[in-house]
Amino acid sequence: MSAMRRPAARTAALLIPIVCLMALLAPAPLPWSPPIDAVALLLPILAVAASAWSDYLRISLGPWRLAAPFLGGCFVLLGPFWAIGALVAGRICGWWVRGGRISWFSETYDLAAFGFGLIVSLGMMSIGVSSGAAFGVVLVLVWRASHLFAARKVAGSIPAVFVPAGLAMAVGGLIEAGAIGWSIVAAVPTALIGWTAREQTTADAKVQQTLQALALMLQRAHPYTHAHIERVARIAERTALHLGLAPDRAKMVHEAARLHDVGKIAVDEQILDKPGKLTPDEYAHVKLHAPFGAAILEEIEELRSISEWIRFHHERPDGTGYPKGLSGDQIPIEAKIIAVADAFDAMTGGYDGGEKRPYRDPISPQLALVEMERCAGTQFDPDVVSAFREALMEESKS
Amino acid sequence: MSEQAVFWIALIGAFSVGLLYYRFVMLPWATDARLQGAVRAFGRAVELRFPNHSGLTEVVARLARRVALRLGYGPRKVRDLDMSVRLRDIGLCAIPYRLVNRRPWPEWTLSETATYDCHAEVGGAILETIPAISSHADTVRSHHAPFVMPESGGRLPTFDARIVKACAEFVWFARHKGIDEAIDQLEQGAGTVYDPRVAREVLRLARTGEAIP
Repeated sequence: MSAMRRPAARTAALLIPIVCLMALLAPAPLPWSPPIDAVALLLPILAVAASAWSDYLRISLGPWRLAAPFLGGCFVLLGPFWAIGALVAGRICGWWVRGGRISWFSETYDLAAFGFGLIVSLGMMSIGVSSGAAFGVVLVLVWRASHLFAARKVAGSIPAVFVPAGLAMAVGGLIEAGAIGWSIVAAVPTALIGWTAREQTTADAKVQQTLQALALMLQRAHPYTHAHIERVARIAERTALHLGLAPDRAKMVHEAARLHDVGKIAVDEQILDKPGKLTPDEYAHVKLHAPFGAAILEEIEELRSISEWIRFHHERPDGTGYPKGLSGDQIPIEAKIIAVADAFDAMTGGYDGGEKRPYRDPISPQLALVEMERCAGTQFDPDVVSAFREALMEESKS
Repeated sequence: MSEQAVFWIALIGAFSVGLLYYRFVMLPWATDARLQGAVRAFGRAVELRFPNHSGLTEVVARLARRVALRLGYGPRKVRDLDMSVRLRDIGLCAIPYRLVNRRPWPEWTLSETATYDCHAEVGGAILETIPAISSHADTVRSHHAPFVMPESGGRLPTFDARIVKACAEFVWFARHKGIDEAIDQLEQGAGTVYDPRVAREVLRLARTGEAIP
């Protein structure tokens, strides 16, 4: 059994018997109905939209994402019924947005915790505890249960607690509220959001495939670069995270690093692969690949922001780089990250020397790091080199 | 039904209509614009690799759109044709840089010419790997194929490919050998090298001055 499934199996094995036992003891639920007023439909709809679209937009405000304010509004103004209903619908839409991919670990965990939460909440409401208080207790219980039985990644995750507890409260609320008719009315835009979001995902995939073809074009012209760009992209993203860039920004760095040499399409491959020293004219020709890459990507609106990083990924903090001779803070941090990751991979010939450049013998990763630290402040940004070292160590461990 | 209920049902209805509008109007338009941006990037990459192609694509695309409209193409098909024009030379990225940039094509050996001629096949092969634009693969693959291909059992290139071929070669000849020679080339090749209907429309545009690059 894989490492991912072990905690899931443990969780299920412990929680399901508890849920079954409590189901046998569950008393009748409390009568309770949700209010239907001005925000009763708008807030949940916004919450659902935000849950679904934040994935697409890759906008995140921590683990709560954009749906949190609306869910909070639902909870405070309308009570847990609407908050939880919106949460559940948002989760379903989010699942659609991600193209229907399922993590069996998460699903097993959620199912077990849901059953647990449902029984606890109904039980508490039946003995007179308010629905809000019941909701809070369920949250704490499921959270603690996750600490005890589940994987570390679930234990610290608020949504992992919130979702199953929310689902439990939603079912309990629906049973009690008798609001099935309104639920169906609200389901129309909810379903439309899911459908539209799925279409959006498909459209995004089409564009992404096309952009990936740009990398493929480069690979056709210069086959040795394929593994190089993938390695540089991976370590650049990790370095960006170590430097404190937001995950979305780090993803953009990954994308930029994958495309950083796209301008080499327009460079004579015989010069690129020439062993030995380049003449000044040849070097001037090779240097054009940075502005060429930017010019290619500028045609694509969503890549315009990263085209500048690619234009400047050969600039140096001391101002001796190209194409503009920028220095210090004039160089975008993302360009500095790509520069470090690119240089390391070029120096080491693919970490193990298997992809050495025709003009340079590879050196060991340790020597390359020493060399980069020697050049920190002149050729490379010292903070980036430091973050790169940490990222490299992390990668070697993983 | 209470006023409140009517109000909320109307609100939900308006929201749903807005979503439908987005789904059927705005989303396809936005996706199209993004795809066209990506395709323009391909064209830009090829033009940067081979500067003697610089600016050709835009001229060929403009001419091809006009010819297509005269041949009764709808907006959707014109847009597809425009993308095919921009993608037609994507296979050139696999042709050696020096072959195209260092020596004029009349000096090429047979072997070099054969290497260059591979670009249509390579372009088609690249496009086949990209589902979003794979529908252009056939057109790109046959964009240099003559109208009549006896060696392939008389199978004709796609109609889009015939438009692309006539427009691209007309623009090439007009730019490098002059408009008169380009018109002669098209007249002589109509029915054998070029589709006669396409050649007729290009010639009409050429004679009215609308096709001059």
